[in-house]
Amino acid sequence: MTINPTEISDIIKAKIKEYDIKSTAHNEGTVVSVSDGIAIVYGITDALQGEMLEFPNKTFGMALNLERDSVGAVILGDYKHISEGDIVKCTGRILEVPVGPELLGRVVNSLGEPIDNNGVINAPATSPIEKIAPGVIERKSVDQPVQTGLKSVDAMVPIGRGQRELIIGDRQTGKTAVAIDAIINQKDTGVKCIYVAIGQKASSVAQVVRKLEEHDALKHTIIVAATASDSAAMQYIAPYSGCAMGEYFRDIGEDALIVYDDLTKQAWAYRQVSLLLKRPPGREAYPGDVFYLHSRLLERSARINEDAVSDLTNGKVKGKTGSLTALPVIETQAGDVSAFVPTNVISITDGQIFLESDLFNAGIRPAINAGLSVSRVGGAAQTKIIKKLGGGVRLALAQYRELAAFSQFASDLDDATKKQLDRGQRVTELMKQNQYSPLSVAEMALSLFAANEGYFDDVEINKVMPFEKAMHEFARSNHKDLLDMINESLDYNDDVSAKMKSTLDDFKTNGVW
Amino acid sequence: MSDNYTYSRPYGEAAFKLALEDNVIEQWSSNLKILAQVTVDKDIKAVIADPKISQAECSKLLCSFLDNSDDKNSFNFINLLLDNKRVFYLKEISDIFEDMKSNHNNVCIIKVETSRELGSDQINTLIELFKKKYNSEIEIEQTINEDLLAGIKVKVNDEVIDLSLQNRFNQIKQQLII
Repeated sequence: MTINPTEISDIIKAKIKEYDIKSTAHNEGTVVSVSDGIAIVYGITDALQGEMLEFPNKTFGMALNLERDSVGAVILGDYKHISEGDIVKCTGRILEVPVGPELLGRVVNSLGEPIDNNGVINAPATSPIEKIAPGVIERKSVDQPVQTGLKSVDAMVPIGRGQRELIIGDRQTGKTAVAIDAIINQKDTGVKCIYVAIGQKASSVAQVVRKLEEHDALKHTIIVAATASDSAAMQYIAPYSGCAMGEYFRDIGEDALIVYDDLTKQAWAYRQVSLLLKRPPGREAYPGDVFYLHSRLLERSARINEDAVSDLTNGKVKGKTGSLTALPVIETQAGDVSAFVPTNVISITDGQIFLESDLFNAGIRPAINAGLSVSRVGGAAQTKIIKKLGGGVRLALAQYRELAAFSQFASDLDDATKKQLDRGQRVTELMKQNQYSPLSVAEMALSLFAANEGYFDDVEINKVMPFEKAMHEFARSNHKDLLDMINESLDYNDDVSAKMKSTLDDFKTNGVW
Repeated sequence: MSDNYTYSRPYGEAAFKLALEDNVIEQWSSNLKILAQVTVDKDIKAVIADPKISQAECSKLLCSFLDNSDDKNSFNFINLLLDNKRVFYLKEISDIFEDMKSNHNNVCIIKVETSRELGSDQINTLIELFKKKYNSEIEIEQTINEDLLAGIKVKVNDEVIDLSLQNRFNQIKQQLII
């Protein structure tokens, strides 16, 4: 990094000018013991739950256990220089992180400090990491879609702005891939994205950053990273920090999408902190408040109405609603969704995308299990055209699943059953989609329309993907007006249906695949 | 350390209530102070911890340090502590007793840190100021700390009012760090 000397002296000049000394009273205590990132502090009898405590050398901690004669605090960051007898000061503030558009395109740690070597972040606004979620009065129902660009998600488990949709599955089933595709697809939509990486390898985080950069999606994204080498306390607070950054956009009447990757590791970090603080362990050794840990976080993802936005911005923004959509990720062990944390998060969220390793290994990627995946509120937010055309696909897949067991008796089946099986196989094939290649609404609609109208029926199963690809290319070069019209209006009517039909007929006679 | 206070609190409170009933607060206060000093001594600690020496002998030894060694309550108190294996918490018990005593007498102990010795008129001004602030009698404990350079640092319980030059320099240092 190069240092500009004039810049430095200017900063010093400004600092000297606004130099200001306060003689304030504060509460003080002494460190009794430090171990594993936990400090027991004697004194500070007036400390608040969750208050920031200042240790020597500008190290901060968070008061978590308030006991009769002592306070148990987690130290955020390195704790090797802290020893018994050190002075601890109360700051009277809850932990805060910088928020604002200045953070977009940056990689920060749980405290909002940059870790991407791109200089300081001059964000004037800060926000406490723990905030109460919007109440009933401030909320508005979810009725606008978040397009993930994935056919299987947008057609079968639609996500609305302000919704919480869980992505759940075993390791190596493509959970992060679904989330990253959703972020990439927000490129020109104005939806700001926050990707919170908890307990991941630093190399995985670097890879995500590089992929987002490659697809020009980093400029609308904030990455909050608490990697596996960070302390458990940093991993525990990372989602709350990310949420505070997302709430900033929600509260000024914009739309934001936040991905928590993943909350299982955050629960592990919290379990570690809790056990070290000697809180009694419960089921799977998690503390008693692990449900509240996730519910208070996910409840902050919401859509708020125009009045609330106007109130929060002191009347500067009028007539706009704000939203924060959450895509929490949970990793299951051997497909066990009835473990403690998965059941908790399933019950908190408004639906789940269930990914299965069997499907993944069979080459169906994204490996979404259409039967177990649901979206409880997304239907109201789905675009009209996808809602209309997606219904047929859902039905075909449901029927296929029922009949799939009979597929080995193919020769003994009647024509109607055979036809359903054929259709199901082709729809399953059609739901496959490569990573980092999100589709526009019009392209998706064209694929779904083709499936419903039986255009795939005479295509060999292994040719379905090339057929679809060729069809999209053909439509893009020869019928661009139709795609533009669909993307613009998002509506489905006889006119659109007739035009799509003629496009597909045209492709069948003139196209090559 | 913090746990020790939690364990010692009931003993300190009980001792104070007993002293208050019998109106012998000062006597208990000095006894506890002596015992607190005695029990931190290495040799005494070894004697108490020695399994060969009976509890009766230990209590006799501890009582011998007291001014009024034949006081029944003091004797029983020491025995109780030995029974419950809390005898090494006498320092904390004494602290809690002193806290309760100053609370009872409406006395506020103020720890003043300065770089140089304060004059008597300066101390009187401080006493007047804090009398108004805390609405109680003031007792000042003065310590000299040359690191402060100049100014004054006042500590009341956990609350610290730092008006020293050292603190000002620290603040400037932090503001100038980019």
